[in-house]
Amino acid sequence: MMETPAKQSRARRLRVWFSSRFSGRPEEQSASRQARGWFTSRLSDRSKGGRHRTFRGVPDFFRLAVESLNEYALITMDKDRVISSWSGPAAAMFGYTEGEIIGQSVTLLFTPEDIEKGIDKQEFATALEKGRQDDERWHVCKDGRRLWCYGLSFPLKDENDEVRGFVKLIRDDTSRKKKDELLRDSEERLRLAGDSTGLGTWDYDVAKKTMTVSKRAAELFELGDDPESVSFEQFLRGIHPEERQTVAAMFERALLPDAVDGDMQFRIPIRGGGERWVLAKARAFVDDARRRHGGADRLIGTVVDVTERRRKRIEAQDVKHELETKVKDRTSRLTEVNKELETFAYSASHDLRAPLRKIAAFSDAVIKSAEGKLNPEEQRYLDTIRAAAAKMQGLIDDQLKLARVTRKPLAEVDCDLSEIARAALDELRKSEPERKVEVVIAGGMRARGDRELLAIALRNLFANAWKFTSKHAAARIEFGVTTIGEAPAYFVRDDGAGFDMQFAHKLFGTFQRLHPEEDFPGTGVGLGLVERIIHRHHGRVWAEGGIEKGATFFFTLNTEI
Amino acid sequence: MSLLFVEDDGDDVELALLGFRLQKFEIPVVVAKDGKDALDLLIADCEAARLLPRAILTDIKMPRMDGLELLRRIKSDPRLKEIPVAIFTSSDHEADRNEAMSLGAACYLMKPSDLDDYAGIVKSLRELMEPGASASA
Repeated sequence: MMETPAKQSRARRLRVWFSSRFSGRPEEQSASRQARGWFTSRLSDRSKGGRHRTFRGVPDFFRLAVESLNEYALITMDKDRVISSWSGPAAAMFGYTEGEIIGQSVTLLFTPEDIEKGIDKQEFATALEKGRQDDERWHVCKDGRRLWCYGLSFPLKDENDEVRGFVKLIRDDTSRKKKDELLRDSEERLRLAGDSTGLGTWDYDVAKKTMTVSKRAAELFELGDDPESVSFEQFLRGIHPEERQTVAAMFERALLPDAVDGDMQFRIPIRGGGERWVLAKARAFVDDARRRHGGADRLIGTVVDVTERRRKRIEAQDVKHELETKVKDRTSRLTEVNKELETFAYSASHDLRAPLRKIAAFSDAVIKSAEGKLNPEEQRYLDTIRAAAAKMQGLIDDQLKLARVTRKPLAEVDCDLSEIARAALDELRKSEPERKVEVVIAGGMRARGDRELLAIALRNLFANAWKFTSKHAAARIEFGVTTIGEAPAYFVRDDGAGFDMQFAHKLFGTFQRLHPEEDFPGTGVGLGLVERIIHRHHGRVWAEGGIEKGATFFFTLNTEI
Repeated sequence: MSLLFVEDDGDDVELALLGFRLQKFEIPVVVAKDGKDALDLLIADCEAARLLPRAILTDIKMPRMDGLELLRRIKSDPRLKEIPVAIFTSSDHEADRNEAMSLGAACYLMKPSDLDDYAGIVKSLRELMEPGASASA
């Protein structure tokens, strides 16, 4: 108990028993939210000096206690509800300074709607009658803003139990109200979303072993007509016996510390026959106190009917399986047909050789036996027959080479590509020793493959580079390896005639040519051979280049790109 | 001294004889129309104690008995196995070449499309029939 300084002797003293518990959110309940005790105060005295005097007598301890609660505005009024004191938080909350508000009616803080209903008066009448009055309502600030406030009013009485005025404590709950509204909105939205998508929600309380379920969840779990809460046992009983234990185990697991959000699919026998597949998703919630003991105290989740989805998936799997079988059958048939075709091409090519050889040889015989007797035109005809036969012979030989490359069984060994390359380039050098070609071959390039076929591929790539650099006085051919993705990609690079990239796709076509035969002779089978060999090694081959900018041929082996 | 030429294709017989003549290969050539015919001739020679051919030039692909089978029979007959056998074919098939060489063929010759190429054929045959002759010639 404290006495106010005695020097304000003219003031009338007021001693008040103050005891109140501020009702608020439960989590905010604490000793500091309670005010209790006697305080003695000087009340405003309207009779003296004609001025409203402030209710300054609130003792320091109380003022300090109240003002330390920044959230609470403290207003005192006289019996006519004329404001006599105005705390700092009140000024901050409503925008009026002490000077502006003291002497004004508290009605100033009420909304016109409430004033119309007489609530501004009613509130204090109730406080008077019941000793206290708490409520939640809108109040109006100086600038017209409205605040949603929790308020507590009680009467101030003097020693003779005579009412001298009122105290009103106000807390601004506007932001909480907004949050609550948002939460309600989102809950409503979730419910609407759930209703429209068939999504049910549930909440498992570990301690109570109860499941709180939404209407939709109750339907899906077959828990009867809209029960809000069921025991966990009851929930489990609704699950298909074959999955019941698994689901119980999954719930247990989901509650363990470090558990992650989980999915479970299980069946619910439908009352009246049949069964429903549901997909339940769960998330564990843990409070800090419980975390220390390990495990969650709450699982919340959703549930959705996946019966149709599963049926469609199974159907899709059946269709996929059927398609796969069909593809397999067709592929095997295609392989067979391809083999037949290859055999046909092989034997046809082979059989064509004999008559061709005869055309060439008998033309030669004519030339030889008629030596000197043929006129130049006759001689030219025979030469043309022989040239055409020779050309056809070349094509057939190439076709046979292609067929052989495809038919030959792969004999995979560890191959020294650098060594194979050196041998191939030596052959080319011997064929045209006068040419100036700088050859760069990276050492130690090894790969697994059929040595004979890889040698054919490299010979053809080098022959290609050799040929297309032939118009240059000096040339450079390089064989090396780089990395593309994670796989080694070998390359043969030259600085020769190159090619137009827009025709790159034609490079590997059998008997396709990008340059006139007069410039660069050949049948156009070399790169086709390379491609077949690389494909047989589960690799990929491609080229980059530009006209007169050289060409680079890349290939990978055993990568299945 | 003679050469047994086993060939079912009349055109090839004609071309070969033309090629031999152009290359001045004057040795008598006996022609058999397939492997069976050739084997019958050889056995008849043996039984009649006649002089056997100095060398055999045989095609591979023939009816009744092909060149490789003929080669096998010759090499398994003690009376015939010393006769050198040259394969004469348009097949450059690696498998044919390997089989022929493993069965004991003396050489594997490709049928030419140019009569001038008979020079090489004739040179090889001369070496088979008169070892060392071409080297000294």
